[in-house]
Parts: sequence; C-alpha cells; structure tokens
Amino acid sequence: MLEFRDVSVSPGGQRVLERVSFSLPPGGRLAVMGPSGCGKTTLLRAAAGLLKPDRGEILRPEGGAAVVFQEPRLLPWLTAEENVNLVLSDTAATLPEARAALAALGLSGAEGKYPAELSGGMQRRVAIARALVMRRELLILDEPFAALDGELKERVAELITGQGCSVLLATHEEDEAAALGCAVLRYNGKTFV
Amino acid sequence: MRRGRIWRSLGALAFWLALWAALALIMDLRGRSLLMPPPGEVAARLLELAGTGEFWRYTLSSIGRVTLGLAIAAALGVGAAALCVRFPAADALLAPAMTVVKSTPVASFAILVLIWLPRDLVPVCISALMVLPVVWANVCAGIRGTDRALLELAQVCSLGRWRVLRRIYLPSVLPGFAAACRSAIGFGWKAGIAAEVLTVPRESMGRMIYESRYYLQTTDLFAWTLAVILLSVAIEKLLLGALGRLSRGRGGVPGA
Repeated sequence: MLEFRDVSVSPGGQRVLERVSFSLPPGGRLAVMGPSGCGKTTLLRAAAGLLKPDRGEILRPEGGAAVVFQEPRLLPWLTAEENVNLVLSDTAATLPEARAALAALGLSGAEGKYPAELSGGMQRRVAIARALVMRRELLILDEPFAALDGELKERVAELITGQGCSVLLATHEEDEAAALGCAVLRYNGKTFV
Repeated sequence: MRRGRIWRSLGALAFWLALWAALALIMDLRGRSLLMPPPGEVAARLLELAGTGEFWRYTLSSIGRVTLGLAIAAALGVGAAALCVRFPAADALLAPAMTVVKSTPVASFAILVLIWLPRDLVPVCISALMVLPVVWANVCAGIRGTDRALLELAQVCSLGRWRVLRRIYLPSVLPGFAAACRSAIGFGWKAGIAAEVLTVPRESMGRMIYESRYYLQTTDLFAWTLAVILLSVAIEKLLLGALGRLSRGRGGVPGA
C-alpha cells in the first residue's frame, strides 16, 4: 500500500505539495488530476522515493514502485528488448520475458531497435513494458497514455489492470482515469484532496 | 563523397611532398643537401632501416614504453576522475595538480624524472604525465554529463551498482574517453619520443633520433622521424578503431 500522511514537499526550496494526505490500499487505483504545474509529477516523484518530504511521512510498499515517467527514459545505447531486460536479470535468460512484454504491447519486430529508431509512441510503450515486467506492488504512471492512440490506450489499460497491483496515475484526462478504474485525487487550487 | 575526400587528402599529401622535394632541391643546388634530404631518399632509408632487426627492436621498445605510459594514464585518469566527481575534496586537491602537470614542459619533467627514475622508465612516466590531465578532464566531463534522468530510473528500478556502472556510466563516459584518446595518443607518443631524445634510453627510437642529429645523419633523422609519425597515425587508428567497435556494440555512442 501507499500512504501520504500530511506530506509537504518543496523541491528546489519551493513548496509544491502542501499537506497532502491519502491512502492507496493494495490493488487500489488512484488518479491524480489537476492543471499543468499543480504538482502532479512532484507528488508522483515523492511517491516513488525520488523526493523527500520536508513535512509528514510517506509509507511505500517494501519492494518499492515501478515507474513510468512522463518521458520514456530509455537508455539510447540499448535496444528495446535490452531496455526492458535491464530491469530483469539483464542476461540472455530473461530476454524471452522482455520480448513477450514488448509483444503484448504490439512491439513485435521492434525488439532489436534502438530508441532513436522508434517513434515517440513506441518508446513510451517500451517504457511501459519495462515497468510492467518489474511486477512491483505499486505502479506509478505519469501521463502514460500520451502519444498513444485509442486502441493502444485500451490495450495498455488492460495490461495495467490485469497486473492487479496498486496504481498511482497522473493525468489530465478523465477518460484515462476511468479506463483504469481509478478513484480521483483532485487539485483544489491549493492542495490535492 | 568519401572518394572525393580521399582524393583531396592525396592531393594535399602530394602538395606537401612536392614542396619538400623542391626545398630539398634548392638546398642541394646551394650545396647544403645535408640540411634537407629529398623525400625519396628518406623513404628509401626508412625502407632500408625497416629491413633490419635493430629498427624493429628499437621501435617495439618505444611503442612498449609509450603504450605503457598511455595505459597508466588511462587507468589513473579514469580512477582520479571517478574520485573527483564523487568527492569534491578530491577535485579541489587534484584540479590544481592537473593544471600544473598540463602546463609543465616535457623537457622540465623529463630532466626532473631522470633524477628519480632509471632512464628506461622516464618516457613511460612522461607519456603518462602528459596524457593524464587530458584523460582526467574528459572522463570527469563524461561522468558529470551522465543523464540524471537515467540515474533516477536506475534508482527507482533498484539497479545494482555494477549494472549502473556498466549500463549507464560506462556508455556515458565512452565518448569523452574516446575524445581523450583521440587527442592523447598523438600527444603521449610525441611526449614519449621527446623524453627518449632527452634521456636516451638504450634501445629506443628517441636514441636513434638523438644519434642521427649528433652525427649529422639528416637522412636517418628524417627517416626515424617519419617512422615516429607513421606509427603515431597507425596506433591512433588502431585504438580508435577498437573504441569505435566497442561503441557500435552499444548502439553507436556518438563521438567514439
């Protein structure tokens, strides 16, 4: 489970999150919604353990979280399958698993391509595949559907919900939150409630 | 495109050889042929030297010394860079030392080191010292330039230290390291040979250059110098080729 207890975060000395509290039970799904710049990404980064709160407490699952960042963050010198395999054993033994994850996202045939040879949408799918193969208790997704068309969005949503893990999603789109069956944590102009 | 470049290079080479031949002819007409032997004579002498075992023994000795110096510089440079990036105090300590090493003339170092080390080791030490700041600076820049976003990814994915080093730091540093090698090989080779000329180790190309100058054998002097130049180019091509192959295997790291 993930729990924010009265959490305030000030990256770079500027207060972005103000006394945020919520709880995400195991298997629960929560969408963080609000306008650009309201602190959705900051909240997700704090949830992932990349930012320390200057007030309050964050309880995370023991194994940590798998994260799909806003940008794909693929290693440019690794192929698509090597990027996914990186979070597995990073040996030939787990390459089939990496390939299967890519195939599930419609990337059969792109396994041996480098990120620079992939479109933005394909790179994003590689990043999603990488997060899914980690099979963590918590999946953090920062606008994962950007650059994906309708059919692919559905397929990605199915794969995510099929994992049964907790999901923390940042999005602008109500229908994306709905596709994942998320409860909504909304920005009220001051904080998330 | 590539063919055009080859023709331009050959044209430039022909121009400089013609200029050299013309100068040699002028010197010869003025009765000073000793000062500037013609290119054909130098090439013939180099071929003659290359047919002797002595040439290869001396050449291999020099290559061995300079290569050892370069290897020491690479190892120390990478280690020092890692330390400097990790610990600011190490950076504060080493940065001025690197500036001093970079600014000190080869001759000063060679004479100083000759006091402390056997003459056979002086060229090794000089090559290493001259190349060390170049490797250090480039590797420091490479480590500091490693994409923070990828390091964050490594953190959330709980990648182990070895995997982060191999998969993120190494490919990030490789272009800088290759750039360092590109400028350092020629530099280290020249510094090593200069140190050999100054310290005259028993079996070395530098000794042959020194003796050629001492006995006014200018054809030999030119032939040995030409050998140094050709070897410098060959070693640079070999090493950069190896680094290029390494980077191609990693998706073509730019700059390598």
